Amino acid sequence: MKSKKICMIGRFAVGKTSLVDRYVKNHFADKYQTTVGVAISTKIIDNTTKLIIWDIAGFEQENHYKPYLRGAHGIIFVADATEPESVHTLADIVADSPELKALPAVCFINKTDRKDDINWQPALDQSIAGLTAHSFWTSAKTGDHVEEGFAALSRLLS
Amino acid sequence: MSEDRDKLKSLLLGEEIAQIKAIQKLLDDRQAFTEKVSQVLDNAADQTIKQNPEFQKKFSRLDPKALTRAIKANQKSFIDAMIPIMGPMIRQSVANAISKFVQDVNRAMEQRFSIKALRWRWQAYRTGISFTEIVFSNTIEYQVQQVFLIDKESGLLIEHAGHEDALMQDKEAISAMLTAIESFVQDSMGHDGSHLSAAKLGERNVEVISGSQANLAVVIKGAYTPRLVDHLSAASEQIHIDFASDINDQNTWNNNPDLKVELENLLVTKSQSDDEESSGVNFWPWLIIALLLIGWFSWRTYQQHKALSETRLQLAAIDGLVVQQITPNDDGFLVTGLLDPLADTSTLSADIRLATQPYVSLDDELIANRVRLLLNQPDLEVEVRHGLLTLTGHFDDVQQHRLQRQMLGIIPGISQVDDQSTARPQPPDLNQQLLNHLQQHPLPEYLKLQVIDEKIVASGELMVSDVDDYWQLLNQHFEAIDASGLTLLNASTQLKSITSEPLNFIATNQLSPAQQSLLNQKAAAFLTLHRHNQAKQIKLIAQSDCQGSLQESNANNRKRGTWLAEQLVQSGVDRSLIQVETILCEQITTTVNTDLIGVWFEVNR
Repeated sequence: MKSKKICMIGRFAVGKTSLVDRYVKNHFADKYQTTVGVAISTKIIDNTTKLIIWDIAGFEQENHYKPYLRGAHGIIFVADATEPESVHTLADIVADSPELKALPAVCFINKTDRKDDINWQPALDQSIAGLTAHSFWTSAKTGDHVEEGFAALSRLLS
Repeated sequence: MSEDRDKLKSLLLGEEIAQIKAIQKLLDDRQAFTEKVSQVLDNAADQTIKQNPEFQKKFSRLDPKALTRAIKANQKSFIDAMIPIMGPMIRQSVANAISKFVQDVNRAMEQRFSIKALRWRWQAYRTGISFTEIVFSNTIEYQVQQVFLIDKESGLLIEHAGHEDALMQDKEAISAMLTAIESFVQDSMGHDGSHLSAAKLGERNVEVISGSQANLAVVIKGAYTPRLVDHLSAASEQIHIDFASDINDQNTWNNNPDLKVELENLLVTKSQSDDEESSGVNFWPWLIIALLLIGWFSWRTYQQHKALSETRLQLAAIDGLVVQQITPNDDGFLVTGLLDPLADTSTLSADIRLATQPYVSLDDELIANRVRLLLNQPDLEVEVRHGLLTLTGHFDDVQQHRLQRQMLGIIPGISQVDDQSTARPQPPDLNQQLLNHLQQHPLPEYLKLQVIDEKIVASGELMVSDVDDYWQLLNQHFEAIDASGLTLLNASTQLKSITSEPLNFIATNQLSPAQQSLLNQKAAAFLTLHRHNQAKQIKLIAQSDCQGSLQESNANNRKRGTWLAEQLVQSGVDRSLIQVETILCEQITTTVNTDLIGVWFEVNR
């Protein structure tokens, strides 16, 4: 079985940990808990690949997250559909770590369950397209497109 | 011919000839050739290594001489380059050494005085291994439970060994987390090249051995020494050498049986109980028994040696005994050898038994004993020294002594005789001396002198008044007079015993027993005085209190005197030596006074 290192990238409180929990444990907690440093989760897919998911915190601090990205096989960019600034953060991270561009990646635009709060402009789609061609409107709370997004990345890794 | 050939070559080869010349020129031009080769060298090396990984070792081989020359030529550059590497290495090495030293001291102090430590000291003495090494190898208890080989960059697991059931999370998550923690620590604490080397949770420790490509993380339960970490470091280095290509090839990760076996070899368990069992036999009780036996044999040997020494001393003190062999037996020693019949063996203790043959000893003391036995003269002093016989003192019989001296020549060991002895002067006959003395100084009456066992023995009676005169005279003529049988008499004492006390009795013919005894004493005293001419007569004076009638009182007085005189005669006093006087009453008294009734005594000298 091959192991693949996947890094969750996104600004503070976009729902990275919730997405991982939903995917790995099929569980969602309303209560928000900040991730300190990094949280590791694993999930076996297709009995041939094991995803080692690095849920990384601290993207607000310059360079502090970089050691965690080393050796990654794939990237999951996470943006908040209600916070356009979260997309800009992703662009900043990629600008700071251009090697990420060479990695297979998908982007989760999260919190789609909060329909009334969604604040999204077409320009943001352009920004997402600069990161990856594979984006998914997800909800960790409802599980919408979460499994689909991880499966898409798995295919990109294989 | 040659021109034809050149033409033929130009027709056949044409442009190729120019190319060959260009190639030849390139080969001859060293600079141009070097530049050309350098353009393909990198790709050629990569392709060669890809086809033959062993070929890489040739590239990595260093020429020590070239390296030495380079260092000598530019030391400062090397120092600048090495300091960032060496600094952390030195600090880590010192820290490890101090940690190891502290642990060593603690363990050594804890084990220093235990019984087990004695056994380990014996083991150290027997094997030549240092005591510290023995202590550590016997006291540590640990178990290497999990071994992770983790890609240094990605944190992905390269290979794992150990029971996965014992893990709270899956092995990939753990390897990722360890890497994340290391990154976190490095990010938090600094970037000086140091790395996470150990973590501890409860009784489990995680040792992280940092390698160039991969980290070796080992979960250890229990206490272990830095030696184990050294061993793991060596193993990590060897794995990097033996599995260099596998470590870089992600396709082989988690699917490399050879590497897994290598990691499983690191899953070791060390326990004290294993050490005890591995020895097979618990030799400690046997050691105690052996020590007790050795102690008992030593004590017994010491006692035998001590007894033997004492026996030798006793035997050496005996003149005339030649010891040939001393054999210990159950209750003492059996001594065989030669013994002079005149030797004195009475001083030997009871546990020494002699089994000897008789012989004639030439010891001076034995020769002297032999001379004494021959001469048999108690007052003759015999001394033998280096063959010289010296005789001093007295001998009794001159003729016999002369004969005996002639016989001394037959006694072995005597070469000279120095006879300083003299014949004993014969003492005068004591009986004759006594007779002569008595002729000149007649004995007082009732004193008897006789010679018994060469001694004057005095017996009989002697008045004190005679003692001063006659006794001094005797002592002047004779030594040692035995006077134990002589009774000394004092005349005044005797006289006083007669006259000092009257016999008061009322009846005219009866005395009480006490009065009768007193009368006998008076009679004996008088007879003694009379024998020694100290008294001529005893006078009895009878009187009364004159109470009643004069006639009756006087009659009773006479009766008492007469009757008491008769009693004295019966006591041995001659009647002629007794005088009785009666004091007549002249007038009658009315008062009875028994102290006035009786007989009073006087002595006429």
